[in-house]
Amino acid sequence: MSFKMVKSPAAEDLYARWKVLGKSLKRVELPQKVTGTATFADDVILPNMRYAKLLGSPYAHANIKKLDTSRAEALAGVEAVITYKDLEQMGVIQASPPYDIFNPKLCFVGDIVAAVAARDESIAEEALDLIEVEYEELPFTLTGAESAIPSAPVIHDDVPDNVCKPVYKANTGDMASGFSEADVIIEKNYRIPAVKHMWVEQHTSVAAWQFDELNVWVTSKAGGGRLAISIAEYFNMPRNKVNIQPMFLGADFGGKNTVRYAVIVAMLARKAGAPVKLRTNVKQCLTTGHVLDPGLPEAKTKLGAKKDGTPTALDLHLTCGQGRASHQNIGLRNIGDSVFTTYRCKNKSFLTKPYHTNTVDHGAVRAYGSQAAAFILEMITNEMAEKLGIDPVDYKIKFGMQAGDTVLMAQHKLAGGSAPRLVQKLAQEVGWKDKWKGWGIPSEIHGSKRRGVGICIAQHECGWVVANQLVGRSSVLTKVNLDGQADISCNNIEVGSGVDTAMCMVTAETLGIDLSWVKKVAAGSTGAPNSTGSMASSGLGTNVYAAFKAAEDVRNKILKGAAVLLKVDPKDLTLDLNRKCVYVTAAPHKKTSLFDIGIFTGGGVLYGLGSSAPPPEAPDGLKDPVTGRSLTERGIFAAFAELDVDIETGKVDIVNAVTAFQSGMVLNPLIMSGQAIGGLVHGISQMLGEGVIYDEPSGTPLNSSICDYPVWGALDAHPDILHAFADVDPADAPLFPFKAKGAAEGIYAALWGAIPLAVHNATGVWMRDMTCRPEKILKALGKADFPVTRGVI
Amino acid sequence: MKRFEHFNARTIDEAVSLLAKYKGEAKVNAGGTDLINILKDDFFPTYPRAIINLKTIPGLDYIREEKGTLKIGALATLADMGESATIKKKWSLLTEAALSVATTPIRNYGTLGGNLCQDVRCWYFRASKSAGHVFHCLRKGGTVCFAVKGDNRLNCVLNGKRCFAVCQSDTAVALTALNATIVTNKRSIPINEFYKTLGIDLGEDEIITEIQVPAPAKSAKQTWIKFRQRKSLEFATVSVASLITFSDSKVADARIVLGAVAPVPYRATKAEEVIKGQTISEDLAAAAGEAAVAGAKALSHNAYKIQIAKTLVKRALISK
Repeated sequence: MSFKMVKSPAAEDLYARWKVLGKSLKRVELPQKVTGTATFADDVILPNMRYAKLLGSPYAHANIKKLDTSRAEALAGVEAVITYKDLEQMGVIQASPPYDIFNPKLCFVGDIVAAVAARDESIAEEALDLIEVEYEELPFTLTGAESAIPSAPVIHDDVPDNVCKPVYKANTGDMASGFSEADVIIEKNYRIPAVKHMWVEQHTSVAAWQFDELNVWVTSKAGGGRLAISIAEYFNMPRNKVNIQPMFLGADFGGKNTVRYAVIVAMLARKAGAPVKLRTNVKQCLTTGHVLDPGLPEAKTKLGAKKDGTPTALDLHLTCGQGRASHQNIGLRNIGDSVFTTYRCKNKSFLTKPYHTNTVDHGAVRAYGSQAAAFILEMITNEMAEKLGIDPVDYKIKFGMQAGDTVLMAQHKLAGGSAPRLVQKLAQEVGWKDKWKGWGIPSEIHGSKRRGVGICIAQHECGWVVANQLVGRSSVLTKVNLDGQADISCNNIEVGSGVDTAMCMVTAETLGIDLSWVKKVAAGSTGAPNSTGSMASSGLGTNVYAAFKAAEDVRNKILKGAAVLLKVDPKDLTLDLNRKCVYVTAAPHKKTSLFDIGIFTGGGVLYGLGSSAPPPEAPDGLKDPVTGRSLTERGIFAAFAELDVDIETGKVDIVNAVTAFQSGMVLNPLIMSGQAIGGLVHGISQMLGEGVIYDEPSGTPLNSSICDYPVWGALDAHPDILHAFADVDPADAPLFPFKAKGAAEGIYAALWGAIPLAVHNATGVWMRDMTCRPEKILKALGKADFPVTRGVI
Repeated sequence: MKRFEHFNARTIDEAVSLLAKYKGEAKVNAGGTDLINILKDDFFPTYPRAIINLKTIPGLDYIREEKGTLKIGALATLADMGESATIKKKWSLLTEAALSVATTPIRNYGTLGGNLCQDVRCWYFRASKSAGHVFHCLRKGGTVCFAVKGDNRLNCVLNGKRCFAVCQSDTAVALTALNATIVTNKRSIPINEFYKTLGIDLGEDEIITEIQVPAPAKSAKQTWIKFRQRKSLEFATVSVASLITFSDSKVADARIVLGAVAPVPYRATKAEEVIKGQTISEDLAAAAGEAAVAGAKALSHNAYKIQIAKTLVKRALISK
């Protein structure tokens, strides 16, 4: 395992000026985590607490004709049973879309029919069997293509055409002339499976009412503020009476933003008159949580190019099955962003046809959309480059995105970064020239093993878009104590990304103190400034930026107070918290103590408040002076994979994998390398075999255990094969504070492009159905007759 | 998990009499790595009324050699087997098979008796009630094997009949190659008679107490290959255990057994015939691989297993 940073002179200069930032400092929450004293939702045990179990739908699509809970309620030890009938009785308002908690119509296998709270989990589980349900089974669909046909079953009565909105489409240029200019046109179809987050901690929620106030402990990354808003809406209660308690999270990867479980336990707790805990298992997480958006897309792709490779027109048409509901189809939007960003091409067209299907919801999974786009765009451009005989690295250098390009549905201009530069550096680092033998040609042959290499570029949101939306507003309260040490408060959630450490680091840097002097307070939704939570790699642009502003605010307040005491202008003063004083810069013996400033200015308290609004360094939305387009930032990524394919068994063994990124300054190399290697493992594991497998006749997810869902474990992720590479230059993140942008998600997206190319070079076959499982590779090699299932892979 | 009675058995007799008392409505716990999942996932039509813990029976975890025969108590853990010098010296095939099971924590709990008695992994059979849908399949008293018309990539390619689940016990495959005998509180059974399509041949009040393994000839070459996608926690896609004895560099006797391709550990006798009396070459090994899968019949999604099975047989024979 290695992490190599190649720094530009400007980066070296900036690192030399920083005292805290840029250092490989250990995470601030590390002591609690390694000593087992960090509190997770399942650690919460309250007096008189009851335990919940969920009844899942046995059918992919059914109406509840009759529902009788009386026998379950009569079982000794059962304290509450709730179903869709309780929503109205308890005044619970289902948010939009209106089928998210309970519904008399069940839309996928495992959809929640009822919930029971009992004295213990065993009794609750037994009570589930006593709930009498009469189902009317309905025909169902598993893919977008099936939902699209006019005779398809209607999944939501208010959506007769099954179209799952919003529908994203975008065009630029003139497609017809683009294709007519082309010397070569290729058309290919690709498919992607539904991958799951596979975290270590499953969804867990605890709810307790204190008269009309609700306390919730929940595995949610939403951040106290955002979660409290949505729970308050369900129960039609004021936000200040919903207190989301701070929790550590056993990873998120986009999956911990559901409120369904929290609302269910809150309903149970109210009905039972006691606190209630719900713990789900891996199987329920796979069946009632959500999986990757885009949902099982069938991507019809058409690319036209000149003989020298210049793309003349790119058309991508996605038909997707987004499940019962999707999270605004943001994954599809992200694919559109990639189409209009990754490669330069004058004429582009992007069309999505998302449909509701009788599968679990589709939503956020780390970098959702961008990894799918990396797969689709790399496959089609590679197939084109092969046809034209162009080295893939040369292709990416020639046509990859860089600062100044028009990106993101043609609305914006890329402010910083260069995929060509990144891929060039990566190619040099891994010795591409020596390893690449040509298209479909193994770089080495050992017995039945064929070695292949692959390289890829990708891009993803880096926090800029979120930071520029209202949802991205975070605020932080920073308090400087009279001993010179600081604590910072914000109800964000540390999902494992290191955001709390980064918040403390910018505070320490700004206040001129050691990191150990800054404490991040575990804060609930009430009483602490609101955060947007941790989403879309936005931590640097939201929470960390707000921490910086708060530190600046408190520093300015201290200097102002000192200026009054010392009768000088604040700009002539220096803050020295280590010596608990402020002194006149030109005459250090003229000073005043922190104690005096505190007592004089704030009645003993020195605090600052910071907000991430307006967005970093773009108070009016930066515009490009020539085009008038607003500038934007994207994270730029690349990956290299070297692997062996055993052509007799279809097994793929990773020999060497490198993830590369260009995200401006790296604020903490230790944390960044953890993110990078973790992302690498995620990407490899998904590409080699992950994906939910559905039983076609019943719509049941089949591989819903860690045994059957082949997520990589520690023994697979051997450190010797995993490497990260950073191209560090502050000019690549010009709009961000500290010239650093988010990279945690996009970092794995590029693996989705690199591995299929490596497999192709090893074997000569293109894995257009994505996952490189042995059965699929053997089939592609003509060594197994393996029929493709009905749109589900 | 639902509620059940729980007994810590002190003796084999006590365990057996409890089993008799509950008339098939009790399950034994010999490590729990399979049982706990079955209890959590609740996919059988009836839930066990009682769990009888066998781990509290003293003296059933021995591993020893007696007059050339390896004797392993049913409660010896897979970890102990993996570390046993006695086993490794003459029965290295079994050492490797034991160490290839699951993960370190599971091997620390899992026992040989439990590993031999584990139920099949067919995902139709195991679909969990907690996730909504349970398949009332033929193996549970139903009339249909849902894998036949469903996704059967994990199911059998040889000797499938009615139920198409495969035996996933790694130690069963190794012990079949080693010609072991299973001893219960009632009788001794050659291992090749112990496995049946719909489960193991064990009476309602019968438990495994010991496994006996004859010593292979000194010159015998023992090979274990388990093919799986991941190194972490995965059952075999296909496995092979082979025991080849030589005479003047020619094959005198051979036992080749395939795992995860048939309802029971599959003795590839046709492959054995191909190599008997011959000197093993790459071509002969390949021919044996083809012979091993003669008669294999793929379901809609699992033809790849045939390719892997024949490759593994070939590799087992030519391995050093």
